[in-house]
Amino acid sequence: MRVEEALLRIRRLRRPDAAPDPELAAALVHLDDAPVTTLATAGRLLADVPAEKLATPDVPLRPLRVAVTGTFTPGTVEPLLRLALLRIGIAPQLHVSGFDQLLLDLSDPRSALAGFRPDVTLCLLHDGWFLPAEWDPGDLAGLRDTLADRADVLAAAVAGHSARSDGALLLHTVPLSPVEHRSLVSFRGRAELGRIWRELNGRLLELGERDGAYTLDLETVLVDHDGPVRDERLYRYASMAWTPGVERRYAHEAATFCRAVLGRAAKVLALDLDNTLWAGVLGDDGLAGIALGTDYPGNCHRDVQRRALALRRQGVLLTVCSKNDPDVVAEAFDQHPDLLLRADDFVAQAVNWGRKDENLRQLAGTLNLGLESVVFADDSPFECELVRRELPTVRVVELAGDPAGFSRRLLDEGHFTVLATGATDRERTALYRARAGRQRFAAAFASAEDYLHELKLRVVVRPVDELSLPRLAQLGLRTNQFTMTDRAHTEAQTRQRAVDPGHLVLTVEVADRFGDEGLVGGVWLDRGDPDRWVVENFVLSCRVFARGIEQAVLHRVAELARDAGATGLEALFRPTARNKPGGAVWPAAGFTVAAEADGATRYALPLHPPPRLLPAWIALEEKGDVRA
Amino acid sequence: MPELFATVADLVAQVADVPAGQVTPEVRFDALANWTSLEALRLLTVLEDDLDVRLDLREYLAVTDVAGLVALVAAAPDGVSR
Repeated sequence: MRVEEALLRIRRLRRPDAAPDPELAAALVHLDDAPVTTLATAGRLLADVPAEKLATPDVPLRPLRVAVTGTFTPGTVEPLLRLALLRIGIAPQLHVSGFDQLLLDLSDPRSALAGFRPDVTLCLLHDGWFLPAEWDPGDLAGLRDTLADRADVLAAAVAGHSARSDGALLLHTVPLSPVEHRSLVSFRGRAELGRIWRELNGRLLELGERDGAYTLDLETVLVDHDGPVRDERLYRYASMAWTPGVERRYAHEAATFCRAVLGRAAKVLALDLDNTLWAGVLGDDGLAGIALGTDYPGNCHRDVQRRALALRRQGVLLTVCSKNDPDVVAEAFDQHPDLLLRADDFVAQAVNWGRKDENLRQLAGTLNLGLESVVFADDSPFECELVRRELPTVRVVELAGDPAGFSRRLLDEGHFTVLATGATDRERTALYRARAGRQRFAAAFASAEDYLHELKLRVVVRPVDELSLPRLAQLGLRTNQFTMTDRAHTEAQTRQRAVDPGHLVLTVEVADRFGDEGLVGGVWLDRGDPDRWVVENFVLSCRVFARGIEQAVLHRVAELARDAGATGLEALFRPTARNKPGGAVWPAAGFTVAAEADGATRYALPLHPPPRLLPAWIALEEKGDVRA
Repeated sequence: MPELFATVADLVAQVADVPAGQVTPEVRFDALANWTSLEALRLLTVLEDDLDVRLDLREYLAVTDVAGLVALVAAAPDGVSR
């Protein structure tokens, strides 16, 4: 969904007679990359929309009373805060104070803010409130005392508020404007000012350690913010101490705090394995072939493991949700020397070839937790979109692009942010492991075909050519899971068959609305006996499993054989340690066992009546002349 | 400069929350409903972000109508020279 569409839907909802748009709150994530001015517009428009029009009755928005007060003019944060809260399922009632009302709001029992009875009070602070305008660079000791006095005044106001209110209060550390830093000419003096300023921030952090008060370390959050903290013009003219970019960051952190206050942090992290916890595909590359060591990009994936382990130690339950062979995965967790995570770090594992939405549903059921407490992290846009669609309450972290950014992506959103952790959090994994037992997750292939329909899968089956031949041979030799033999054809053998009229070698290419997957498989056919074509090997990359593509390919092969006058199609399958997924295709496509000899199974399928194997959601495209 | 006018008028309409057709060159800001200094500063931020220009706040605050604003934006150095 584009930004314009989101804005249009918001505008539509503002009409008094507008019908509800129950998916809009969740769809606000589509505004994430929009410029901050667009976000502010959206937030302002949303002020006129009743919350019940934005969500479904089964997953209603949580109401929350949020007050905003500050030492400067905090008003412009309001629309960004409203948007940030709605985006994560909270419908706020907001109370925003005017310029520099903070002390009055917190200390006066009859203040407008006190009368509002907020669940959460956000206190926005700026350096100019603590720092006297005419501070003397020659008397830094005096400045230190002044800052301590200001902190005392703030502490007293916060204590007063806490004594009267059971709501939560959020303070933050305050970045010091560089112009103050440069007002001192000596390096020693600047360092001294820095130390004094950090003492103040240390004090602010301490204030957030008791009662209902908490402190956000904003100074750290802003370390990688690109741009100034304040626009000097707006600061001097209107006492606005933050640029819109800083307001946006703050709104995000404050919204995460509100979610923590409501106790709605996520509890479960469901992790993909291949190209998420390590670089490479375990089933194809083998234990020695996956990368997760100290070099790039393996070290990026290793860092994802490190972050996941840190989450586990703070009470987050880790689970695996991977399309893989369970025995191969068990071997990896048991034996790979570079894995930081081991099997007992996970409360449950769904390792099979089934659909991930189904697996997540079962995982949540096993742990007796709602799907809204599950975060799903995967590098595949296909799996992410499937889960977003089928399980809209699951929070999806798409690990796209350079793996160096994966850890950040996993943590930036603050899905797991809680107010405080305790001793029991460390033990939680063991507790749940006992509860979940060693449940095996059933592979479920059926259902949710409408998603597959929307994928707009296109499959092209055509004879191998000069260009594709080396790549096809490579794929054949490299594939260990969806393959029919451990004796795949070499490049020379493939080349020989490509030109021999008694053989036919086909490539499989796949594209969907996420893009072009390119060459993903191939079929090696022996048609020496024109009546019975034999599939010598059929190879498919595990990237495209469980979408019906193998059925579509066989449909095309059967069609070609029939058109050439064959009455039957046969296939050879030679089981290996890893090619169970490949062998499963023959019974699934209606082939029956015709013979077993020399460790190989010969499957057969009559071509009369013509087998109908093509799934309704796949379009077979013809390119080039297949009738050699 | 009709394109620039259309862009500026559109942003004015958004900030003032009035239909775009109502914003003509002659429209005075003090005649817009609910136009306060806060709206004026929001418009400043939006203009600078969208058009990648940097305006002098003193000159900006002295502008009274939409035509004056368009002229100011047209004369402004672009954001690269910030």
